[in-house]
Formats: sequence, structure tokens, C-alpha cells
Amino acid sequence: MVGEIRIDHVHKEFVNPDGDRITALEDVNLTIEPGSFVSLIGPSGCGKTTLLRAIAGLNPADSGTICLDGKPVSAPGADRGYAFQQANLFPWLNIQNNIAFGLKARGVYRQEQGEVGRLINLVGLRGFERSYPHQLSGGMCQRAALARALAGHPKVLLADEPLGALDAFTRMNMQDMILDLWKEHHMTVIMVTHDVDEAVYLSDRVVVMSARPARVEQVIDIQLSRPRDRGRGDFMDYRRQILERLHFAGNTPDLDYYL
Amino acid sequence: MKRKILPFIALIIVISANRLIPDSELQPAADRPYFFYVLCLLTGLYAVYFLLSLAIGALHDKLIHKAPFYAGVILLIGAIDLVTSKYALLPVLFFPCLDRVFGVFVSDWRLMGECILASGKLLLIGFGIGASLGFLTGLLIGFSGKANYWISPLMKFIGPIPPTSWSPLVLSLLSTTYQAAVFMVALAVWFPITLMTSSGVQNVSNSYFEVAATLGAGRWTRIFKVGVPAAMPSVFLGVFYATCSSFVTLVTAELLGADAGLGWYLNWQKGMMLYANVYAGLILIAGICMIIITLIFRLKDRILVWQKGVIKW
Repeated sequence: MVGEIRIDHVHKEFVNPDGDRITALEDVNLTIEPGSFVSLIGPSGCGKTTLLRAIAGLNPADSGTICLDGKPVSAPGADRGYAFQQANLFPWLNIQNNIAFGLKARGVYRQEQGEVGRLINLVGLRGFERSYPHQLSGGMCQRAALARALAGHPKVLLADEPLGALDAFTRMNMQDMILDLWKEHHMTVIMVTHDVDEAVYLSDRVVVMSARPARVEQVIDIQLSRPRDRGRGDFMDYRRQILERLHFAGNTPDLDYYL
Repeated sequence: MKRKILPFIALIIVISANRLIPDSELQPAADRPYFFYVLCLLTGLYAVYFLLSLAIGALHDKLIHKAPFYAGVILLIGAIDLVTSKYALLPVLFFPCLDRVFGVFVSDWRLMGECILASGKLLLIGFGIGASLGFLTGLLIGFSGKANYWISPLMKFIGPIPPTSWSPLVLSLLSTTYQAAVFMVALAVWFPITLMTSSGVQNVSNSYFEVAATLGAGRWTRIFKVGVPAAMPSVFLGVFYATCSSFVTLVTAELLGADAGLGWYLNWQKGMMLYANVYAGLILIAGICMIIITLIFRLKDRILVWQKGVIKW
């Protein structure tokens, strides 16, 4: 199994428009086992996305290292798929070509042609290959975006609230779809979410982060068998445990809504 | 159905006015009633259109929408006929009767054809040079910070100068007036295309480049498979502006000493005080410009099928 992420003393600062330095990540340490499903959860604006973007190599950390299978990452690469908050499909390409984009960019489309069709089936977009993004609903676009991120068989899928903009029903269907994709692809998934239910429903481990600067507050193992039942007592226990932890994490005095 | 009859009613009114009211004696007579021929031609064309629309549903809807407009245009031409030929309300030298204006297309068709070819050639060469250089400059400015720093101010300085005002300089630097005309048309095309290409590239959402990077795309893929297609709507707007300004420049550039071309034709006829020919030339230029722009928008619709209509023609 490949796809181990090791985050070591990662530190990141931003300069805001007023010229103040803001610490987004402070000494973050985390090891994510290969093939596991991990959710990052924390107060809004705490730096979860910053951490995810650092893993992707989109905004490298100021200090500390992030390693994928022992090799430090510094730039974006196809070994780490990224699903953005917005689907961000290329509007000038139809669904088929959007999903094939990465394969074509790396010159492996000829060998992997079957891959695109397989993914289209998996995300339930058969029949929409020739449609353009503006002709599809938000949920369909998000599914196409997931398929695009997975087309190159990344070792790790980084997902930044990919379901955040969807309605509750679409969301629940897509959660099951994501679990299917995860099982099928034997990859590591790191997902940022705001939704405690979603985190407990999907993850092997939930990483609770503190408000700015983001630190790892607690890592909670979810020891529930799948498929999980959102209404069961032990599910609710985990939910309560995370919410308590989040509440505690949110009570630090430098939270922006106290200002 | 009633709406579709409107153009026929307008045609009957205009034709009967044209036939029943005698021409003013102030107005020099044409050798044949060419305007009447044009009206007959229009009636025939509209009748064909009308009959086709009975059979084809899509055409019917389009015609229902357009019929009042066609009727309005016909009535407007009829009004011009009254003002010029019938009552000579305006100086007859500058406002010739429509029979003579349309007669020019018959008497002068050979010369007009030559002028269209000459202008078309000049336009094609100038547009080709200007558009390809403009697209390249735009990409450079859009993607490279250095090019933006050095070239962009130069473009903004040169761009707003009307291309034809370079004529004194250009005529002394280039060996023939034809080269000078090509240069000015190319310059007129270069500026809007450079500007719209570079601003199109600079306005591409960074998230598209990030997506491409996480999918393993290299630098050239990011430029040509992400930046360029994303900037295309803006580039097309540039092509549209360039077409309009190339026409303006073309007509003026041909005044500099060309021996054929639409601008030359207008200027020559004006010099001869043949205003009927001037109007015929204007109608010709308008028609050609409209055809070219329609073609460009057809092309745009094909290339930018992914775009929900932003610019319409």
C-alpha cells in the first residue's frame, strides 16, 4: 500500500492586507497511514485548506516538511489528486475531455483510454460525456471533478469540502459514491469538511484542528464498521465527542468572531 | 400569420407610390427604373421566403419575429424615394434618386468588383499580419511578467493613436503606398487583438491553472490548453473590434494613392461629384462589413460552443 503522508513541524504564515503577519499553521505534526480515509475538521478559517494546499504543493509550507511515501513534496504533482471546493471544470471542454485532461497532459491518454469511460460509469455520468459543464447541475459537475482528480490513479486524494456547495440529499448520495471510489482505488483520502456528520460517516480518523493558528487538537479514531448508520448510538457518541472538542477548540480568544 | 403579411403590404404601398407619383422634374432621370426593379426583386425574395416558411416551422417563427422589421425597412426606403425622387425636397446633387443609386450597381459592376478584390486583398494581408502579431504580443504580455513590464506601456502608448495618422512617417519609411496601407491596416488590427488577448489571459481564473497543475500539466500545457482557450471569448471580442477598425482604416488608407479599392472608389466618385456612385459604394461597404462580421460570429459560435452567449450579433 502506498500513499503515506507524513507532516513534520509544518509552519506557515500569511501577511494580510493590513501588513500583519498571521500564523496559519503552527507546528503541525501528523502521520496519515496509507490507504486510510482522514477528515480534517475545525473552526472556519482555521487553516485546514492551507494545510491541504501545502500537501498538494500549491502553497508550500514556510518550514517543516511534508513527505509522500518518504519523499518531500514541493510542487503540485499528479500523485496527489485535488478536488476543489468548486468543481472548477474547464468550461471549454466537455465532460469526457475534462476527465481526460490530466492523462492527455502527461501523454498517457493512449494507454489509459479505458480509464475515462470506467470513471464516467463510476460517477454515474454515462450519457453526459459530450455535455459541457454549464449544461450540468452542481452535483454532476462535482462528480465529474472527482473523476478528473482520480483519472491518473493518484496515491492520495486531497478533497477540500468537495460537497460543501451541494444540497443535503445530493450530499448523502455523493458521500457513498466517494466511499466507493476510495475502496475501488486503494488510495489515501484527506478531506477537509465543516460537517461533523460527514466526517464521522466517512472517515477512519477525524483530525480536529484548533482555531488560528491551526494545530492538531486531537485525532479521533472512528471504530465503526461500514456501512455506517447515522442514527445509531455509537455514531452519535462520536459526533458528540467531536462537537465538544470543536467547541473547546473554538473557545480560544483570538477567534475572529470575538473581534 | 397577419404579421407575416406586413412586408407585402409595405411593398404594395411603396411600389404604388413609386409607380403612381411622377418623378420630380428637378431630379435628373435615370436610364431605367432600377429602384422599381429592386422592389420587384425584394417582393420575389420575400414571396419565396414566405412560401418556405409555410413548410418549415423554424423559418416560420423567425419570420414572425422579423416581419414587422422588414416592413419597417421597406417603408423607410419608400420614404427616401418620396423625399428624393418624387418631391426633390433635398438638394438633388447630394441626394440623387434611388433609381440612379441602384443603377450604379448595373453600370459600374466591373469596376466595383475590381475594387472589392483589391480591398479584400489589402484587408486579408493587413488583417493576417496584424492579427497574428497581435495574438502573439497578447500572449507574451499575458503570460510573461517581463513582457508585461516592457511591452505593455508601449502598446498603451501606440494603441490609441489612429493608425492613419502614421501616414506621413510611414509613407517616407516604406517604399510603396501599398505597403503603407498594409502597415496601417495591420496596426489597426494589432492593437485591439493584443489588448483583448492579454487582458483575456490575465483574467483567467487562477483556479484553472491550479487544477491543471494538480493534474500534472507542465508549463506549455498550462499556457496552450488552459490559458489560451480560457482567453478565447476575450480574443474574439478583440477580433470583432479589429474588424471594425480595420474597415475604417482601410477606407482611409486607400485615399493615400491606391489605384483600386472601396475607399479609393468612394473618394474618386466624390471628386467627380457623382453622389449616386458614392451612395452605391457606401451600401456596398456596409453590406461587405456586415457579411464579414456575421461570418466571424458564426465562427465564434462554432469555436465557443461551450460559452453561454455573451456577445451577440
